[in-house]
Amino acid sequence: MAAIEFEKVKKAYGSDAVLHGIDLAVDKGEFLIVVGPSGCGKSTLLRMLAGLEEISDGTISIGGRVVNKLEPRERDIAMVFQNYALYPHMSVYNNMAYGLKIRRMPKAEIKARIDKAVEILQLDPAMLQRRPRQLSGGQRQRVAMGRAIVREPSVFLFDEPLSNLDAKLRVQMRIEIKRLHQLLGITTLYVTHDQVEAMTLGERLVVMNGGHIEQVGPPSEVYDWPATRFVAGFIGSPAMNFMAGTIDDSGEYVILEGGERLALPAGAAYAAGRAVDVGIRPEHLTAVADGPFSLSVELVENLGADSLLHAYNEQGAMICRLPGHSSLLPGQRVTLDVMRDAPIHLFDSETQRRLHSGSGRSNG
Amino acid sequence: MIERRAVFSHRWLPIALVAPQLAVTAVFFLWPAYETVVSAFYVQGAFGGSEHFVGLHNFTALWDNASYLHSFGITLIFSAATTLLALSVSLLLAVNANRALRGAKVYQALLAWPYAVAPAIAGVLWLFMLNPSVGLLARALDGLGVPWDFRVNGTQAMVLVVMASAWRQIAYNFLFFLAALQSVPSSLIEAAAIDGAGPIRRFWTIVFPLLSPTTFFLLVIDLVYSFFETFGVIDTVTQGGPANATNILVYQVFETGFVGLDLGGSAAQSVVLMLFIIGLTVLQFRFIEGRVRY
Repeated sequence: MAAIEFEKVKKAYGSDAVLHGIDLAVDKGEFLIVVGPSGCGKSTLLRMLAGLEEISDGTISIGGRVVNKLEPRERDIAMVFQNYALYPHMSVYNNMAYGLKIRRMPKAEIKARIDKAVEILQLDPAMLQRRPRQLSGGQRQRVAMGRAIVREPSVFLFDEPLSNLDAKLRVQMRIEIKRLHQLLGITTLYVTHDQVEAMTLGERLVVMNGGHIEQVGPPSEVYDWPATRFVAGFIGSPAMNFMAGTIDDSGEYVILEGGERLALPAGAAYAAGRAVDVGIRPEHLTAVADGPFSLSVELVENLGADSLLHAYNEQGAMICRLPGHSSLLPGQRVTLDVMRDAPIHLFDSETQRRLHSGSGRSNG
Repeated sequence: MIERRAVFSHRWLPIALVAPQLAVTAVFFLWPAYETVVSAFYVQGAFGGSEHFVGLHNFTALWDNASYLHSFGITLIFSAATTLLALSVSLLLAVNANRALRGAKVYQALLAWPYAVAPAIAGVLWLFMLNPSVGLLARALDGLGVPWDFRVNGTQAMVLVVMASAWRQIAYNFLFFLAALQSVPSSLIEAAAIDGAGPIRRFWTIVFPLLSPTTFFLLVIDLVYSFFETFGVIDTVTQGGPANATNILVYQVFETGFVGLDLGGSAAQSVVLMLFIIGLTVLQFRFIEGRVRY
């Protein structure tokens, strides 16, 4: 039995539809990431699960129990908010104890649970008597997580919990959250718009766009076999390069707008004359003496381990990830080719869906 | 640091700009206050002319003045009731206005109107409604079997002046409470809901504590209002009666000075009233200062 189940869940504000029928099952103990651009409905989905937004249509169940009409407190969930939402007039201890006191838990047990949470989160026990405003951002985040942990809920909800932290702290807290999940094994739904969190944190990734689920799968699968053009462009940084093209008469090559010819990946039959979008990830391109793409260098970003080459021609811009430092200068001509054995991705121009099931290895 | 002060190139311009306000303060506040303090130490002839320095006699005489001590007690009851009523009703209205989705703006605007009504006018309005012979509310009470006549019943008179005084202040408090409510982050209330708190518990454990700076501020404002500005209400509705049942200090000051023509005694009462309210305000602000700000 799934720990959480969404069935044809819809949300509309008046005539404004935000979610158009979401079907999703989350396994017990799973760490599921929901990712998408802002306004895609991911936070709304989470808030509906928490009971903070009404469900316009469909059902949501937690542990086999339909929760549509239940108050947030009856759903056995805990949530960590983006702005932490700590009670400013209470000490850290009372922030964590608040939910337990409401449940009339004996004082000794409250203390025992908080002590345990403090240990798990490696909080300084002296901090317990302080007010939230006396804490740093990272500490507040930990306290917010502590408040969720002490409740021992059946589901954890995270709503972009790291987006208010600086880059270094974000990396640290990301690891902490992952460690916490491995330790406690509580079913977790984690909403984010951050690429790295999406790729690294969860066991499964849900990519949403415009109120629909675009793809569900392990992060590596979503990265290697994006189901739609949107997913291909959204997951991965820098984003995938796209070129418009047409399948040639033989069904073995695609002719790009600029006249370049690329061999099609095996694994599917392609209809001749079909309009397609061809996607190539920046790390699958390489600078060569003679190749299909001839461009002018716009700028080079040296990142240390590798560098990003931004180049353009009449058909548009391309980004290529080159190993090490690059000595290319703006205005220089550069020729790019798809790396040997690197995948290319084909999407139907009309439906935007992936055309082939395989990884799409080009045969040169 | 960025310079946040306005910088004037001429010295006289800022002086000219604040001069009118300073002049008004000096002529209408400082000078009368000074005159009051001075006359508190003198005994004046009832028809003017003669004046004798008597030291603290006017103050010590207050201790033996039964009507004054009675007035002091009445004032405490009146101020406490007015402030409590004004604060609680306005908070209730603000909480509901904050929840309203439709017509919220109209509701808020209408609730702000009474503040534009002068206390004396407010008194007259309530007087009309509760006039024992022609008042609509008085008739309704009569119909319910409540014998209503504030002209003979001291308790009813007190209820009437408290309602009339609080009514206007409710509008003022309402605006502040509403602004404070709207600044409480919704995520706090959501977090409390997920933590298991129902709406009433959420209000008393989360929202109300966060309103406390506003509540303390309004407490000071309302107390000062009920001590001083309610003269108009008392004068139009009860003139301190019946049998001094609504004779609050500020009205007693007026009675002593302008009806009893004991200017020195009246001045002494004013000084005591001033000191009392200054003390109260200092105490309250010290208390607020000591509180944690959120």
